[in-house]
Amino acid sequence: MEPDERQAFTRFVKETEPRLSYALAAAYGLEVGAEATADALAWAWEHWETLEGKRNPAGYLYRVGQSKARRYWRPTVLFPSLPAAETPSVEPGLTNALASLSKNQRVAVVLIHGMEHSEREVADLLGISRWSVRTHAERGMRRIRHTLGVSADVTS
Amino acid sequence: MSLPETQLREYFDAGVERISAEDVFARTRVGEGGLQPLHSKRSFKPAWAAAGAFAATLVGLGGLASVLKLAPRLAGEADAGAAEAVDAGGSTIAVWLIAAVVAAVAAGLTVWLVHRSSKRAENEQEIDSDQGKVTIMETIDRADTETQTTEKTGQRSRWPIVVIVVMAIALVGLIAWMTLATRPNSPTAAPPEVQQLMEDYYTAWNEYDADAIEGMVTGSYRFHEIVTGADAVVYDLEYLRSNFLPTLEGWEWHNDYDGPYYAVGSDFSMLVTMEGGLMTSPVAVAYPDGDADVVSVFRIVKVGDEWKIAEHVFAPQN
Repeated sequence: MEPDERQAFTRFVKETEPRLSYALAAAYGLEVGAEATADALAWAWEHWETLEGKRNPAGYLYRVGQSKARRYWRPTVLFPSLPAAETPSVEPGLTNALASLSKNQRVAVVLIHGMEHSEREVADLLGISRWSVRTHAERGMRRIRHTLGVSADVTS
Repeated sequence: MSLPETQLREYFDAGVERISAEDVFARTRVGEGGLQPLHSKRSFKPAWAAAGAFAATLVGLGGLASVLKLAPRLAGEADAGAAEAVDAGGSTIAVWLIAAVVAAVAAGLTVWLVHRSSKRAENEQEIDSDQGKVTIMETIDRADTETQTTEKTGQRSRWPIVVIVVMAIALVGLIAWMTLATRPNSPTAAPPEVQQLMEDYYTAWNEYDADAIEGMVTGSYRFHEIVTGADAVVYDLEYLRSNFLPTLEGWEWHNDYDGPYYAVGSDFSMLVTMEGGLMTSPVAVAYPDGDADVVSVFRIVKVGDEWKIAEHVFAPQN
């Protein structure tokens, strides 16, 4: 590979990886999401010339990640509890609330409400309309709030 | 309580394993340099284990069933031949079905055990790292360059899934095949209930038991005896009871069949031929040579739900 290609790929990873990692983790759980992201990015590097020419490379790569994720043994617990030292403000019910959402709801909620991505970015990634993304995010957040027993005006 | 949005960010920031471009380059170099990444937290190991357990159990118990099926013939048991033409395979299919169930249970148990052990190892690794996740890609340096892998990193075989699907299809095919095999395998093979009737009938004859014979024949039952060089004689049940069977008992007459049964007919009447009979009568007057090969032909009819013998033609061959 040429140095220019490495630089271009590095820029692409910096720009795309956060969205991809969080989206695949939200969709398939932390473990499988991490594996799928690594596989998808490895695929991206191996097929960089192909990917570079795509109109929506992030969305394309998300679908590659989805294919890779199907190859892994699906864990019974998608979102395990993490050490309290790392997640002091996370309520125990959050993981169950996340697991109860649909895949697209989780991705929309995590990327829009958790990571503050725009609806357009998420729509491009998932390959669905902005309106659908908004609906998924709203319904997902409503359910999470309901499960956690909090209202929208709670302060941190 | 924090906002759900804050909780989401905190949870995923802590839990999501981030990957840089350098990680990707390193991973690719590993593949190109003959190094193979360790399968990370999730692998197909449980699937392979399930496939192996399933196949081993099925083949093992199936082989055992085959051995048990062949054992009587190897031992030269007299009844083995008679059973051959009407082999219902009932016991064999039962063993195969048991094998399939045991194999499925074994596969499930293996998956569970492997899955549990991998989870345990994973938890121990997490505890050791005290980070809640593993962030280092480990590699194995394969010194033997001739066996260096050219597999691209990140790609894992789909063969375990293919193997499981193929084995499931094979199992369905096996069950279908065994189901078909339970039917008579020849248009002339006597069904099992007819075979049983024949055996019960000859047991009654060998015990000179007219009452037992009466339970297996129709009211118009006739027994034809065809002896070479003589006219055929026809007896009814009463003559058998009062004269013929006591005479045979006096001769210590005994008859065994080890040949196959052939049946021709419809659902309501059938002709059954028993070959390979050997009649012994150490004190017989009619058969001074002592032993005689015999053939019997029956006409049997269905009375209600039961087969009954309407006629029995008995033909000693010497």
